[in-house]
Amino acid sequence: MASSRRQLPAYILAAVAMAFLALFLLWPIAATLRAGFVADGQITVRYIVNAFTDERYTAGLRNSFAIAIATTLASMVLGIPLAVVANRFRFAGKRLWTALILVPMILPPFVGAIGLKNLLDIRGSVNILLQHLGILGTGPNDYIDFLGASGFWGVVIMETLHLYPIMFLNLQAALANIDPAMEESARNLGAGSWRTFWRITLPLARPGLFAGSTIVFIWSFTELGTPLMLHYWNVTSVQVFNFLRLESATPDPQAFALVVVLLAVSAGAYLVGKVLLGQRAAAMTSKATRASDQRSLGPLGTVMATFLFALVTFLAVLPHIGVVLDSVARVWVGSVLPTDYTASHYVNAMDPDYAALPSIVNSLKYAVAATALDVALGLVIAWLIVRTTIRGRTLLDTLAMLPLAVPGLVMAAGYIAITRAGSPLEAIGPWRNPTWLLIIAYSVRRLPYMVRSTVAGLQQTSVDLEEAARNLGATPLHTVRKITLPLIAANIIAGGLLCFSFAMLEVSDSLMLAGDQAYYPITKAIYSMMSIADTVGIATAMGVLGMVLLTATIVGASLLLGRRLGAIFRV
Amino acid sequence: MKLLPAMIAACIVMALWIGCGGGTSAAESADVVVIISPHNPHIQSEFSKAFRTWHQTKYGKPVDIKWRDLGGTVQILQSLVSDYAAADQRGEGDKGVGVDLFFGGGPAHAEAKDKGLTIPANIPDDVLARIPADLHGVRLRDPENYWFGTAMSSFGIIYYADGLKQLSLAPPQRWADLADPRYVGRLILADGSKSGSARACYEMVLQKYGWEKGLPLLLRISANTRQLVESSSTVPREVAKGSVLAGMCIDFYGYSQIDQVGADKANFVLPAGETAIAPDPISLLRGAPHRELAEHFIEFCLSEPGQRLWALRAGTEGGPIKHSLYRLPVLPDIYTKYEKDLVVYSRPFAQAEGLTYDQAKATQRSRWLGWLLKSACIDNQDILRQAYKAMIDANMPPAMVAEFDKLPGDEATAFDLGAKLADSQTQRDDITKQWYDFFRTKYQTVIRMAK
Repeated sequence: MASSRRQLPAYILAAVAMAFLALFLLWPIAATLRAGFVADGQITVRYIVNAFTDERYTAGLRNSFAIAIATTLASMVLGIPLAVVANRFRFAGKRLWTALILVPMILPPFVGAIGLKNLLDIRGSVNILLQHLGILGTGPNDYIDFLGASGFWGVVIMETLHLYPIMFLNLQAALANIDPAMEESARNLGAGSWRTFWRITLPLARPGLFAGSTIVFIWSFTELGTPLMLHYWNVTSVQVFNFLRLESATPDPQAFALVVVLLAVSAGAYLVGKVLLGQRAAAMTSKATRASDQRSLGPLGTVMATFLFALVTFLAVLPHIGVVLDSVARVWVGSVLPTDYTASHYVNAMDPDYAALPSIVNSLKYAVAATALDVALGLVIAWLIVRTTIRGRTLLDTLAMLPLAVPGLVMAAGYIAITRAGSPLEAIGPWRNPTWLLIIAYSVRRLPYMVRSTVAGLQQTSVDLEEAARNLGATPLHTVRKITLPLIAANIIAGGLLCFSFAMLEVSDSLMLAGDQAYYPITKAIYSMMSIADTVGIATAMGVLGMVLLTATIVGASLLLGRRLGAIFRV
Repeated sequence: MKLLPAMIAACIVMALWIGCGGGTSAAESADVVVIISPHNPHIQSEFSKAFRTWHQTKYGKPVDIKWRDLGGTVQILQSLVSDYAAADQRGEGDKGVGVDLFFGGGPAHAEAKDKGLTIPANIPDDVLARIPADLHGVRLRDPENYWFGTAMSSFGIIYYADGLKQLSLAPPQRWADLADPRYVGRLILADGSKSGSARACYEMVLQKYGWEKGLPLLLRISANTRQLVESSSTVPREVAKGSVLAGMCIDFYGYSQIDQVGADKANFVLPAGETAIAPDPISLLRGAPHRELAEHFIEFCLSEPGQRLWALRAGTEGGPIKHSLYRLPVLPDIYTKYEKDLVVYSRPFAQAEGLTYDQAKATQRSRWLGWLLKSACIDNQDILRQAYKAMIDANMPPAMVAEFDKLPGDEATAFDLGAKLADSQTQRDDITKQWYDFFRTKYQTVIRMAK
């Protein structure tokens, strides 16, 4: 039992971590709540009530809800077959395909949205291809309106193609945990494969389904970048963005009231997911006694399975291929592929006349700093949770995981609330120098992943090794440096790479918190360049550069962590 | 492995250094002019280079321009108002807010003058003498020298001729043509509450047809849209792609797009007698930290070397180096001296008066027109389209048309409400809600009448 004095350093570290979380996680949320209920110095529920009575805002909430439901269902349609096939069967190339499945997760839909229009618009590549193939006529009304006049389906498609891997990962893990004895019993009692699947397997895999659905739902409910890029404005996130994009000493309380509603729904969904998961987990009385059998697929089966994975992956990557084509196109009008190619967009991206290069430099700076911050904090918090017995470490754990339940848009609104004119943090506000604000915002949002990754590493590393070092006379610090860190290096690096890649192409905080062009990160620069006809090409080039960077870091992380990578993306 | 902890330590140090260093900000040099502007990067870069050269020749020393970009005109104006309010509260308003000039943004400059953000600039008389004070009743500079028009713009319709031909539609010649029901689902418009140039287009419609006829026209045009976008420059781009067939935009976006994709893909027309010239001004901000250099920049913009940049083809002598800018200069000599190198088609000083343009009214209305149209059309887009379709399907019965065309009060009422809206955020919320409810109820009535 460690004496209090020996635990003093731990308590000090815990206090520092708590202070950081209180200041940059709790305070913004509290400030948002306050801003939604206070106007002209008086407490009022007027704005919250407005959110549910003013048709403009209810329409926004309804649409946000509709997008979330549609995206969640569509992700299931894509994710369930993939997970079942991956769980049940072995086939040639399976490792490659299950790795490629994760690729859409790191390709931001915000960038892909640009390519989606080129593909699916009424005079986009797909329609023109169908015309060439003779499937469609060439009259003015001969087209398939995939996106629809409103843009709703475009948003759903983009978000589904980005989020289905999360459903896949969660479901795959849940399926892997099912005791095969259950299914065998069903079979022994005479149930066919299909019946077994519906009545035994899927219900037992429900935790995975709920976990995946919770993440997908919350994410698509609050997503800002995709609807913005597709001009689908009647959603709550875009309404909030429009309120808060203007500099003002007194931001409109209506914006914060809407954010409060978003937060309530997200927190509610998160809790529902957790509660349902908790119940389900208790119902699983027996852990798998042996690994389930995976059947090897013959040639026909291999072809079918490969086709399934390849098709889904191809669809997911297609919009981004559209962006790549856009970035090298001089003219791409009324044809399946560009008719004239050019490298000028990439050349211009490097030209100091445009905002592209400075924004890339900015993003690199913010990402490196945020990653460093996350590594340091993550290490401290994880070590406190796993290796010490101080009181309050459960609270610290919960706080560190809290950002998972709080959507990015809510945090961004919170940061605006705590940096408005008159606040002590005004100097790092969006309209002054938001460097630190962005760094902190990125690091707070990725902290749970970093902590999770580091905790996993520490748990897998036997404490005996550290005790042995201590017995031989090493100081605690020395032990950490020489024994612990090297053993969990892979986890730290993997977590760090994920933080870095997220920070490079993060959307909601970047759009809302970078007001002055001098401080724009890549995503804000892309957004701003998309609205100026002369710089659209550069925006697509930057999108591609960002995606390449992201892919490289994910590949790196995956090589380091292998299968364990999936563990980070589950609830 | 000693490397890892060292790396982590290095990361933390770097984080601190980066955090304290800040974004990529330019060095604070004495010879710099800080300009806040919604102008696009091409304009910024051409003017930076040309101004540097000109200033070196005329005043013997180079000056750099630091551009501050906050997005569109609405954002810029809001930011300036907010910053000056904070500075005035501290009693330091006359020391400025770190910016010298406000460049571009149309009617926002008159508003900036009214709000006390700008001050008169001293410009040499010989420079001003070469530029007319007004054209066809539209002022090209403020009589008290608070703002100076540096270029002029006109507003028209961009369209895709081949696509229209496929639908057996003649190319649009007048604003009212866009309200033709055969355009349903084929138009694209920009949000007037975000885009100043889009707002100016809508203003032209109102000035030509008047309030009573013009607003219903705008409703119909809006009902014909397939897409609504934030930025006016997206309009010609989407028309060139062919998924929409026509839209309203400012002249230089139109010409620039045609240059890019070819005249077979896109055309631009200035509706005869229905559009007017609007100046694009520059103003000196109160408390400008580099006042003398800022006034030199204004002088440059108004003299021949600066004026040439707007209208000459890129690469020609005296013109912009890399990018053509497609704007109309305010200096009449440019049109005569450089006729063969111009990229613009209009000759505003040689043409007869087009629309009789009430500039004061336009300036006042620009403070709220975007919000009105947003409430009437954009926020109600779905119902508006349904109502319009119901009306067309029923063959435009007079009762339905009368209901559809109903206005939320006469022009004077609208101006009153608009003035209140411009002044206060809570008023804006209330008044836009009022308008939103009025239009929504009206459209729902039209739909009900169809049944």
